[in-house]
Amino acid sequence: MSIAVTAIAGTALTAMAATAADMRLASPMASIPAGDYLPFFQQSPGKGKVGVANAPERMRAFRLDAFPVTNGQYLDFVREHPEWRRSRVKPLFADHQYLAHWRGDLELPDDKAASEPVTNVSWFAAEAYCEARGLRLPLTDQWEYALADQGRSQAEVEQQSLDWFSAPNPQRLSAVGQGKPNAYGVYDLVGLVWEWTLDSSSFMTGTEQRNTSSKDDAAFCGSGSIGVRDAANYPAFMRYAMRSSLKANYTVENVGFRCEGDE
Amino acid sequence: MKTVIKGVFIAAASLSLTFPAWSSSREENARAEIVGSEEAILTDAPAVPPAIKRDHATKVVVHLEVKEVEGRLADGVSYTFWTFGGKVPGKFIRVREGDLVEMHLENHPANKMPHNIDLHAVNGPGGGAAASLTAPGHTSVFSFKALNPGLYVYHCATAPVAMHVANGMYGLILVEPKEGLPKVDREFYVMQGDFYTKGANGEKGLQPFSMEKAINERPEYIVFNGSVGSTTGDQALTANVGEAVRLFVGDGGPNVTSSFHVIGQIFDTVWAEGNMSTPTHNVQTTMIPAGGSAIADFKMSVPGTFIIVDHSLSRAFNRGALAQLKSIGAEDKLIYSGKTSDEVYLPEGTGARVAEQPSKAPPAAKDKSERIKAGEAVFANNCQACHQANGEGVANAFPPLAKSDYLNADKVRAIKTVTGGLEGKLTVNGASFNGVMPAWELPDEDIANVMTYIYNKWGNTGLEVRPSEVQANRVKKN
Repeated sequence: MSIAVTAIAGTALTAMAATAADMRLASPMASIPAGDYLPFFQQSPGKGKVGVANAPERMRAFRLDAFPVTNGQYLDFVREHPEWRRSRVKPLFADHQYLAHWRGDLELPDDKAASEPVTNVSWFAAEAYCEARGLRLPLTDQWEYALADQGRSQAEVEQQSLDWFSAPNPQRLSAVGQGKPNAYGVYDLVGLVWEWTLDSSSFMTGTEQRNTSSKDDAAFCGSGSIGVRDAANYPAFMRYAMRSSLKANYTVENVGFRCEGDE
Repeated sequence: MKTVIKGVFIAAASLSLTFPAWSSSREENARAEIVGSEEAILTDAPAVPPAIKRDHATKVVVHLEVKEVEGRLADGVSYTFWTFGGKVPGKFIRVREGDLVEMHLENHPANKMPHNIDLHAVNGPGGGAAASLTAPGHTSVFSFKALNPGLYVYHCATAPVAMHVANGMYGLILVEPKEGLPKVDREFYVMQGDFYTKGANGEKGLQPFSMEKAINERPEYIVFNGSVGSTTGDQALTANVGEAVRLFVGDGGPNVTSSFHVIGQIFDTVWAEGNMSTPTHNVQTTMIPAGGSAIADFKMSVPGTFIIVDHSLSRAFNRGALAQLKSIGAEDKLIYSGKTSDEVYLPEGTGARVAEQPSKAPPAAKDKSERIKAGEAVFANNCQACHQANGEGVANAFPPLAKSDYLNADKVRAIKTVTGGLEGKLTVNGASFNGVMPAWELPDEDIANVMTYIYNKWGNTGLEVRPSEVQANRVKKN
């Protein structure tokens, strides 16, 4: 599924080469060093075996946008890439809510919006943006690894997430970078918008969130509580559930993205 | 028609069949021909959609909109509820066995979360959850055949399931038997749920969800129909003497079961766990599992206020699981004399009652009007259940505070009553009482506020009670 999706996006983007304007899209990136990472979803121990006993995975070093991509940055992108303007985008690549909060193809709601995270963008659009910068969307594991921050301040991150869940969506989003960064220098991973990942729509599951038995592969165990690293980590469940509810052409009011590149 | 049914029923009963004669088998319902189509009538609690008059199966289209909304959990306490239809509990859905139900789950674009729906009335993976995970701004559609009659809970089953349910994502769907339920005069929808706020019970403001309390199954609030006092005072259920009343009761949980009881009523008929095959009779308290239901029928024989509780009583008196059913009409002294004073249910003796201690001291009121305002919330949270919103109390049970001679005669005695409790015979405004008033372990400020509120309502003398007076006259706990 994800391979097919990437292939379609790749086809759509082959004609694009990096241009001078693409350079303007550059934004500060944080260096995420290599390290050990224990995925939230455990691998199946194999047929006939019980329990989970996962060794941590080794993550390579990578760079991650320090901030979610803003409306302002995305405006520069659609100026340079007209096929991603609201009036021209193909329904296959973005549903009818694509950039619905903008006033026009090249017009933001107001000046303030330029520094707010761009939302109502599909996976295809987000990936196209990143590719135009010579980057790509982060893998879910990379995104989660950046959030895990080597275990630093995890209680705080969890609480921030819960507080965010407990408040209705604000009338409008805050500008990016208002909170404090984690130890890698990454801002706004939680508490501002949900974010697309490269393998968002393929990662999950059936949509039955408690199913732990119908597939051997742990990734398909959805968000059932067996086979996860920490069943008490509600915010993690919520992130995976959100990702699994999305299809690649969906655009949602509170889903944005950031890009990832090689170190 | 009725006679025929009765005959069939007797024949069936004599064969010791456990399945009722008026229900079809699963196979029959699966085959039942669908004729026509209609939009489901959906209602918010305590209302129930009208009984189904159709004599055939049809396609019922249900549009259920998921909305995340900030609302009132208790006086001065708000919470971000996740709802099926804008309120807790979710919309009541009523279909007939054999119907084809087409569910449209609409996740409002302004919502933050993905949601889905598991209806216990469904035979299929996840009860529909597997077919309905829906991102904000999207709609999922699936359909199911209502094969088994009964009263079923539906709820969100998106991970983390307990959190979605704890935020209010549950409701009831009635799959009515072909021949309908026995006719009654009034039907009501009551659903219990437990809430896990970061602040302790009574702590004011918008309260975030506490994951820790949810996992440890330690709710701060356990309520009927989504908030403390949702169904009391002006919002109480009402019926007339002589009417037959039916309660469709559900327990959304996520964790706490319900010892469902109506004080001063015996359920004539209960369909336990919402199953239609084995009604039982003359039931005092019926157990409702989390994710389960019951139907309770009874006749209003006498007038009065009947208090609906979770008879696991701390839940009723300390966490909010308390509603009221008011019956209006003529007394029947033979059934209930109205003169005995020991019939009212009082769970705890003097001093046994530990009031909810707000974890933060309440802000000091600057003047009398602030004091009255703050006292209103304290009253609603702690006093209103017995003394009533209008201060009139309940005859033979809870003394009136309105124009109360006992109260107005002696402020110091009143402070001692609130802080130390009172037990035994008492005469207020010429009426005698013999009950228990618990000792309230609230901060001086709260007691001063609530007493000032009471003194300035309902024709009382308009005194102000200051925290220093409470401190000076407080009955100390042993």
